[in-house]
Amino acid sequence: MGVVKLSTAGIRNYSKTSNFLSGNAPLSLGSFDLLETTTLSSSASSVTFSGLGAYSDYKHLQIRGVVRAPTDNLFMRVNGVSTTDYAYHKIRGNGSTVTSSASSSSNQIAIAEISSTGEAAGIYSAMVLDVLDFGSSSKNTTFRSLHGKTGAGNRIGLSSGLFNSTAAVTSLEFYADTDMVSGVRFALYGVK
Amino acid sequence: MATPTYTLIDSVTLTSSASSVTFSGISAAGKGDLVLVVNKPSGDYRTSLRFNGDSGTNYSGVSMQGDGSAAVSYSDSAQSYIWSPLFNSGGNKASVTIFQIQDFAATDKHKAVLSRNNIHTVRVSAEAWRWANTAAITSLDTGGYFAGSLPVGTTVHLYQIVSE
Repeated sequence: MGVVKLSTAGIRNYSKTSNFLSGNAPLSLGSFDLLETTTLSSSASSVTFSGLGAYSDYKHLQIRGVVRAPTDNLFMRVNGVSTTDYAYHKIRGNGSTVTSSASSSSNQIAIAEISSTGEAAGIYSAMVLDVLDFGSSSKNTTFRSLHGKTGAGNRIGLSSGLFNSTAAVTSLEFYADTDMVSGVRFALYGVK
Repeated sequence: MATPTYTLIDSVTLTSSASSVTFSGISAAGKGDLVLVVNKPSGDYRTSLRFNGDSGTNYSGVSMQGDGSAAVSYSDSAQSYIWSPLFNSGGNKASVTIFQIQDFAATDKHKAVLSRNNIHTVRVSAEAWRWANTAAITSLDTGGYFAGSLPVGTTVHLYQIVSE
């Protein structure tokens, strides 16, 4: 087919498209992706996301959870490390006062206060946790969470955590003092 | 396999004041969480939220706030809607409130909500709320405090973050 000079030939039946997939929906590659979900169908002592090195396409991770256990603290560990390589700070409101506490040289991060099984059935606490620059091998990894619960024990809190190691994060383990119950859900997301 | 998410379900920009904005027909497909962002340019800085048209006293919350001089915490139960910030004195200020509604499609859980509210020159707050109902959320409406209106220019965005 020969080349036609448009200024001479003109264009008929003109159709403008806004993407490279003419006639199709725009392609969305996404910058916030669901990677994995664990929902407990029976009680379990912990939930672990492992093999996180496979998610090197992502810069940060977010874990969104609904949690309930016999006791009201949720802890986390990184890469299976159980030595005193963690630190954390907490600020909490209980409906009357706001308090703050911290721990250094801890063997775990207290990342959220959660609904206990002493609460009415169906009450689960909420948590949103960010893991920043998890793949870095030159930074100590930091965490931050927003979490809360209402019921017999009201609590709203912000927590920060430190894994005092420059190792890339390859696994995250979440656990309570005693087994978490059926219905608990942790969903892992990658952020580019 | 990674699933792109944080999907905009719907958005509204008010060109005239309204008593509330309702999103209905929310599908349980994909489950996961909802994120509601309410940005008000003026009016009472408190924002309300209800689920499935439930005006019963089924909402309870706890708040942690700072106003530049002190940090305080409040709680309230048996409320007829969520209101954020949970503070008994309102005022005419711009405000931004983000509600995160966890596991909205579950039928075996009360619905837990985390909210964050910023009010320029007034206060910053973080809150937890609970709707004492195990029904899946199929609609929600947000409005001003105590049936107050949402002013012109208010933007409301609803997103879904799927789980499995």
